[in-house]
Amino acid sequence: MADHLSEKVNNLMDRALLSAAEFNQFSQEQTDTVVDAAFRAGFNNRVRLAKMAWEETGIGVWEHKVIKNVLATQLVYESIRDGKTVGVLSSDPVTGITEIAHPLGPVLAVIPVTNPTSTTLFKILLCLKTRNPLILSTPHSASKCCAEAARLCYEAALEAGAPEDCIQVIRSGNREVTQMLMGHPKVALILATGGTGLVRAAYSSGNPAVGVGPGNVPVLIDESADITLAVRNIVQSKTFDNGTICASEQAVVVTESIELAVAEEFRKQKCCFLDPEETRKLEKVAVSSETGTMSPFIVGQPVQVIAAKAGLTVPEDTRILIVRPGGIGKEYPLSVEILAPILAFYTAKDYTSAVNLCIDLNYLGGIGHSAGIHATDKKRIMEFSELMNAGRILVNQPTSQGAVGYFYNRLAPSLTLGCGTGGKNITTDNITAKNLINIQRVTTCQPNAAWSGFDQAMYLDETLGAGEILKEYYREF
Amino acid sequence: MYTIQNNSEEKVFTVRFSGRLDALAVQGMVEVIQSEILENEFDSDTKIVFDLEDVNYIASAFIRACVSVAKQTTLGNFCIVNCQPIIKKTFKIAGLDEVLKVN
Repeated sequence: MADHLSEKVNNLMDRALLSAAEFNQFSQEQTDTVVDAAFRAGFNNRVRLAKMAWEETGIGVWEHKVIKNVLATQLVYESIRDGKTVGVLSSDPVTGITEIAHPLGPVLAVIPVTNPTSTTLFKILLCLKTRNPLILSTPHSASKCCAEAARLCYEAALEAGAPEDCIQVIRSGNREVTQMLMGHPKVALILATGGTGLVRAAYSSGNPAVGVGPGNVPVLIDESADITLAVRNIVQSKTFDNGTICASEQAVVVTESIELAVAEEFRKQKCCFLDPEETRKLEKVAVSSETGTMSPFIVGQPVQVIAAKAGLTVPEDTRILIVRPGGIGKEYPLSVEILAPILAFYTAKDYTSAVNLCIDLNYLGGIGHSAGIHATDKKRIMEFSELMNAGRILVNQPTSQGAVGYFYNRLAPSLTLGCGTGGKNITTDNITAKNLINIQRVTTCQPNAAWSGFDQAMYLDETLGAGEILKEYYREF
Repeated sequence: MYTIQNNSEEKVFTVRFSGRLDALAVQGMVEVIQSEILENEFDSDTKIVFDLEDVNYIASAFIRACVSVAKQTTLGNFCIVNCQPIIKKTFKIAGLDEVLKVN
């Protein structure tokens, strides 16, 4: 069995390497022709793929998955289309440094079940733009829709002159193959979008990896906020694809002074506050008592399904279930990340206390991901931002659609959001094409005038300190 | 796209390629070359040489073709010569420069 798998892996890699070899010869124009073709194939099938994803996974809302596919194709394409990814990127006559782009090589792209077709399309466009063949590892419960997305793009890319095997797919159930590929010496990079276990495996593989982290996104509604707009944004964000984007709000924090107004606004937006007994019932189905993390069943499920499972009676048109956990931490199960239309609500006595609550939430399993603030007080916005450990601070916008970029801001549109070292990632970037090239710097000889004119024998005199040496070093300037 | 020179005295069978060897160009080429090699009934001393001096692009299909022909020959008797740097680098990226004896 092991030999058979080994052979399969080697076969995949051999093909990927040949593809990488051919791709390396492509000009920018040839590359962009391929990318354009793949974009159109993905975009033109955005609805069919969204429906496939929804039917196959049972997660989310198909209409919202269409929008995710639009992000992954149209918006991502717009952001990378005119970018240089081949040859000379820049040449600075002042510094004498010229930057040249090189592809990485074969990329192992792991796809999450929450955004299957959109992440597939997204990674395909990035990898084709940067001339990196990719091998897609698809989740078991979304393998068909991912494979179809890949097939459409691959056929279009080939038609446009792309190298054979620029896109390969590992079908579902092949976790062993994925694990073997992760550690394969010829894999250039693992692009790991998924849960903590997967990302840890990627970083432990011995190959370079770009991963993501979990998000437990706190959002502060400040006294200076436009409360109606803030709540509308939060509801729009939290209900998007039934809360499956990891950047969706997990907890809302307000001060006592505006608590009633905010709660009233949520009720107007058809959100239902649960009482303590209802909250306990919800805890049992939403969070695993063994692991303390969200239960797999809950991910991307609509309110009505969740309510029925928990034995709750809520109005039929309820959009979000809101709970008051009463605290933050393991003892308060609903204070963790839950990718579903469930929102935790906290009230603090004042702004300082509110920010402290956000810090606690931020550090409860969501370090480095995202945070949100609704405010018009610029000083508070910056103070809050500097205190959060989050790669993205979304101001006065929905955090789901905000964090992924381009809908409400100029962040790079992306379905792989780095969380920095807090999330055990290598970057806080919204991953995009520039993260998938090796940049080579050619430097002409431009002697450092200060260094050349300085008597280096002075360094050997240990009686001379920084003051004396630097005075002499910079005497001409 | 290619010419064949069979030097039976020195026992060197050279195929000289030119231009852009993309997937379309390579189609059918391999079978013809392999047939030529078979028809000539070379002995184990005959060297099969692919000269790529005038080649400016190779598709993965061509690299596979080289591997296929190399397997047909006696071990050590296949090589690729006169590569332009970009072509040499392409074999290097594919991890086949040593196996195919790319010079």
